[in-house]
Amino acid sequence: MVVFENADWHRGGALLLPDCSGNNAVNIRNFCIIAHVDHGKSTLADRILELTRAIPEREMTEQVLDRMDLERERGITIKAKAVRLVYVPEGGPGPGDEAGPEGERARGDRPEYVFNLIDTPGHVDFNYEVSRSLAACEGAVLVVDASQGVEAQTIANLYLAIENDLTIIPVINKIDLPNADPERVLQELKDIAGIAPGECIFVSAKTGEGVPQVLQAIADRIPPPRGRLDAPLRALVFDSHFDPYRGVIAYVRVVDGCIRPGMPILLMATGKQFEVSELGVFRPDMQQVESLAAGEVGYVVAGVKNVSDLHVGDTIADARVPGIEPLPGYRQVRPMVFCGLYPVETDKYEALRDALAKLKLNDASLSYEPETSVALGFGFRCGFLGLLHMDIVRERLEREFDLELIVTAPSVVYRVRKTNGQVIWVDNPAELPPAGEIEAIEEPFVRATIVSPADYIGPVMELCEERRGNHRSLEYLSKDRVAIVYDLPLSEILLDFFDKLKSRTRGYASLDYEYTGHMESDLVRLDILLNNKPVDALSCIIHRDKAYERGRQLVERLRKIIPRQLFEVPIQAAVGSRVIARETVSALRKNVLQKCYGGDVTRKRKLLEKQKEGKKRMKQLGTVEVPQEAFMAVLKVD
Amino acid sequence: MGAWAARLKDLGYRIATVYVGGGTPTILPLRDLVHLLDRIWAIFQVEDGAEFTVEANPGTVDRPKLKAMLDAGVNRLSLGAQAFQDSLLEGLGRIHTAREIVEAFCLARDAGFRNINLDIIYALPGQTMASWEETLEAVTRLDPEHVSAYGLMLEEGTRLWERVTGGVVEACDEDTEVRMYYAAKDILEESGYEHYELSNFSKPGYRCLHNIGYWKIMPYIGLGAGAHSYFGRWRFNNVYDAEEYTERMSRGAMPVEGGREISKAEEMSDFMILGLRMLEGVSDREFRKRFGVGISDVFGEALGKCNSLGLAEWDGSSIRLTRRGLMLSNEVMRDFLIP
Repeated sequence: MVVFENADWHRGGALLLPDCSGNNAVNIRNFCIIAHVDHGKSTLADRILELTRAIPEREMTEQVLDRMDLERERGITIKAKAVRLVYVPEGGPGPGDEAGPEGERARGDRPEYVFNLIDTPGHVDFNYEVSRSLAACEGAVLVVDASQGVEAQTIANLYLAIENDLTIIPVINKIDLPNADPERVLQELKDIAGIAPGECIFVSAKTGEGVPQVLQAIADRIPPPRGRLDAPLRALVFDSHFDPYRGVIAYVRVVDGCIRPGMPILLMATGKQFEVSELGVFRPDMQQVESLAAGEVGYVVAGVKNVSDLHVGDTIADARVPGIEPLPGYRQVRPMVFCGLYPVETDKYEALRDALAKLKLNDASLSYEPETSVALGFGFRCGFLGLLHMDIVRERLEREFDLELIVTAPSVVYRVRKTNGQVIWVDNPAELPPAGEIEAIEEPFVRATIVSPADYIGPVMELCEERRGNHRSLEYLSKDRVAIVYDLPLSEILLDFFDKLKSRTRGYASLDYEYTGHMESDLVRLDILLNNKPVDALSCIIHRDKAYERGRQLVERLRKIIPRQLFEVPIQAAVGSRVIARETVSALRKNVLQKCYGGDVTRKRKLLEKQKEGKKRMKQLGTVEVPQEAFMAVLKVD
Repeated sequence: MGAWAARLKDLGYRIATVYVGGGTPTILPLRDLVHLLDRIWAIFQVEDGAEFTVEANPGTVDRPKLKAMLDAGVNRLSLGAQAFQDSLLEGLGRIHTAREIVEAFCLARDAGFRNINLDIIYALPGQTMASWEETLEAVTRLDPEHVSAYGLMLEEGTRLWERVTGGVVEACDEDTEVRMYYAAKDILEESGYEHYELSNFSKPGYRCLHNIGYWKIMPYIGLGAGAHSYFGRWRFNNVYDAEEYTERMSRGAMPVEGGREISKAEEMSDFMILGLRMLEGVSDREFRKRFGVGISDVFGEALGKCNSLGLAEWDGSSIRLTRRGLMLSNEVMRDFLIP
């Protein structure tokens, strides 16, 4: 039986907390929930919050941990959150049990647990953030949909958890669904990670069935935090957010030692020093505490004004103690995908700059710098963790800041070795040096895991081969499901790979991937010329073997998008000085209202006004007027 | 109507042109038609020798009706010929045949009409360049004083629109339509017609004065359901529903709705946009006479760029469309919207 911990925790008194004088970390359980998208992670989190009474029922909205509207709409978790819960197992004090002073109860023989639930982002774009959240935990609840079974993200997350040495609690969710097949899932889990069927808990997060068992398993199976209270402070930053009043709020897991207000701290990656002004925990609202000790999870406020000073994965140390070894696993997050963002109305440039600055406050992985395009004027080159990240930022700029944007085709970052020995990074095709100065171009590769019914092995492999993939392995998860691993250029899976994968497997395949490094490829820049003038915003870098087909597609698509002008407009695709495809938009020959008598005057005027309005929304490239969709055309591949 | 007549008389206006049309007034029985025409003369102060047009469809006129119209002061007849191929006429949903066009035309001539217009249409589904030229030839053989040649506008909900969207017939492509337009211009000009407005041609001295009134932004009064008026810088129209119109008229109520006052700026813009429809264009002198300022004072930017596009010419005293500009006139007119 799960016992709710009354209203006591509002006063913060009944909690069994470690403090810096004596370590009670033995009753702390730090864990996260990992799952493939839509397997029910957020619903399970909601149930856990309910059962531990973290949030009064009337305030319970679905998916409380995902705060932004956008997250809720897309059903994904963007930023990791952490919440402290109190769990009293069966036999503990029940509701209305008022006996004994609180301090005594806390040290009594009936155990009470502090659960720190660390929520992780559920998308491959945020892989590094996931890995840091996992590093802050000792255990992971692995949720698998009973009808869908193990998917690509299940595998990726599971391996990530194993790498971080976490105790896994396998949960088979949605057992209430009519097509649930938990037995099959048991087998798959056994095959991919040797998980014993006996370890798995059958759950319906929707009805609440099995959730108490999950809570008990967290208490029983996940080990208490390791780490030494008497060692110098080391705390892992696993997320942060920007608060307009307090500055950057760091989400931390204290690994060793203890942190207190007033303490001078060192951010080891950036070498910057600050002084702690406030500490606290999330319940799930922020609640101040006097200290955070080894094993605890909470937040630190230290007058950090800029999210870029506080990197996810960094170690917070006591600035007074020299020679501390940073915690392992930190790396600088680098944007993987770049695109140009331009305001449709050129006078909105300043507004776009201010909006980006505001988003950047809360999003260290977003990068941007001013860029000028011959075609589009003044805008910004923006870097993102991936396409989803890019999409979220674009949508927030449009929705929250009321901006109309032209987004150029996303590009990965190329490493270009020049003949003079110089090495440069190129994230904008327009900046690729002339062919004569290039020794070699390297592009980012990913290792992609695709889980699919065995029936679709053929189509999946065919797709990967089309996308210049290198086959790594094929493994049967069960007799009819396989995990296929390929090394693929990131640029090949950026745009439509997932959609294609879904359509070729009737929606059954799932995908996960991680960046593995840059490798040399035979790449060229494909330029698009309108009326014989190259349009920088339409250039792309592409494999030589695909340039012809892509060029053909692009000019055909542009011919359909670009309206007839008063003169003939040639559209060409070129590699270097060689034109590889050409289409022509023939000249406009007719734009007239032939009949115009008394009653037609108003209609005539409306028609002209509508045309004028439409023209205003076009971009003028030299003498050619181009609708905004033209810049999006590059995004679509057949 | 009486109210209008009284108002006009007070203001000292006289009616310069009368146009009875929109639909087929000649479908009325002779007695009613004559009554309608007589009432117009009786109620309004129509000038002597005013252009007085009645629209008619071939097949709705006979000798007595035509005679009666002439006797009632009608001096111009506009016949909706449309095409000279029965298959195309049928496609348009017309009840008449090519033969009936010729019959109606000859009857009108015999009856004494000395000013006849023929309406013809090109860019019809199924119409070829050859059949269009055949229509133009048939027209020039009949030798009317005036020809209106319109490109078909496919309008949603019409029978033709349904046939085109349903794939029964194929719409005319734009390039063919443009070729047909210029074929009409060349053939009719060769036969002695002046091309004086985008879609209108006439023998010298036979331009349609009534329509020129629209293009020169003269006041006009529309009578009947859904008719539009422009008077005292107000644009308005009568209610569209015929029953409601009759009901309002019978109890002496105003049938007018949708009134909008036109600012001086908009009137200047209308003057340019509609004036450019005429091939002689808009003269700076006329513009000045009407508005007290020159065209370049108001539309300097538009005038500045028009020559470079090759669609219109501005020579400092007037602006007119070029031959190429006729079919692209919206491109020019757009620059004359109120900024």
